[in-house]
Amino acid sequence: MAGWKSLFPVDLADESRLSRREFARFMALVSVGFTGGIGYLCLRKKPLEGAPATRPPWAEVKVCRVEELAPGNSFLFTYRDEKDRCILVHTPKGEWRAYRQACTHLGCAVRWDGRRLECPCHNGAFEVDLGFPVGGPPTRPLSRLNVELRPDGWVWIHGDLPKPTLPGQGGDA
Amino acid sequence: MVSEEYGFFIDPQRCIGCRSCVASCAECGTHRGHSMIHLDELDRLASTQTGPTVCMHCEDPICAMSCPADAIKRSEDGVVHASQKPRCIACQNCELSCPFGVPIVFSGLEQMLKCDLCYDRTSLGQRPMCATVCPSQALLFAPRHEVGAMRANRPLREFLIGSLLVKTRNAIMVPDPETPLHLNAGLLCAGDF
Repeated sequence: MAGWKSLFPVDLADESRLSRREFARFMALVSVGFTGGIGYLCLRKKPLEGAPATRPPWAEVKVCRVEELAPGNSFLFTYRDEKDRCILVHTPKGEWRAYRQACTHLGCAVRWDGRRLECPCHNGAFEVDLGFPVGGPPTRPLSRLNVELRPDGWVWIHGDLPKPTLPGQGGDA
Repeated sequence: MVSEEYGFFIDPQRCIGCRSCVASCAECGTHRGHSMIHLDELDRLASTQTGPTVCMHCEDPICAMSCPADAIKRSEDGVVHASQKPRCIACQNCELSCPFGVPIVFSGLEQMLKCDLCYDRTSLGQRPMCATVCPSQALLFAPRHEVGAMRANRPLREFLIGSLLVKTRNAIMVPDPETPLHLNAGLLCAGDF
């Protein structure tokens, strides 16, 4: 019988090359392996090589001097990388807010018009206090970054909040 | 599983051509409406003799060996089953290769169906549908050791087809078993049998 023919046996009993018992044994070994592996990682309690450090280099950036930005003005900066464009706003009331510049509708860059953040592409608008949409097509709030005014006179940005910000979560300064 | 003790015996001499087997085969629940039995008039001009053909369940099933889709399988008890629906490609290789002309590729189903010895019944100890209805018991499903006492004819399970020796699970009853029986398709076509 040709070699390939043995792979396609006529008898039904020879059809399965993996018996039920072998399959069960394989599955049991795999689950033992997974359990052991996860147990090892639990006991190890430190990240593996290549895992990101707990505070990445961009976790905190200083953006500008406090005195550079008068109330009612905004300042553009990048946070995680060159493409992560963000906007820092010093509101007329004197509060500091920082948001991702990407509009939650289609990702255009929002800008500060002195009263609220507006998106020029489809006329969307976000209020500046929490970043919630107040006009136009966007339905989700802008993602917010924490602002901290440090005694050294610089405005520091930290925190990575991809989800909508809730009151109390953001860093008021 | 069909008991090895039980054999299927085909006695064309006893066939009266009533077509009960054909009808009962078509009534079977597993292949509803399709009969797997060929009932042939052997020499219509000279004789009323008919002969039923069911699958002989070869020990080396040529249909299965010629199947390119690996769709025809034999179970442990020697029963060669109909093609597996997910695999059969209706290529008709089995039809052409079978020395007894048993497999039928149904064009509506696009699948080969053949006699599987009523596996749903015989694996539970019951007789195949055709054997239960045959009034002259030309199709007989019985313990092998009892057949000698029941019949004058003797079972034959080896056939020579050209130079190919075919051994089968089912038997044909012949008056004088010349072993193996020569089935020469060329002679049959010429009417010289």
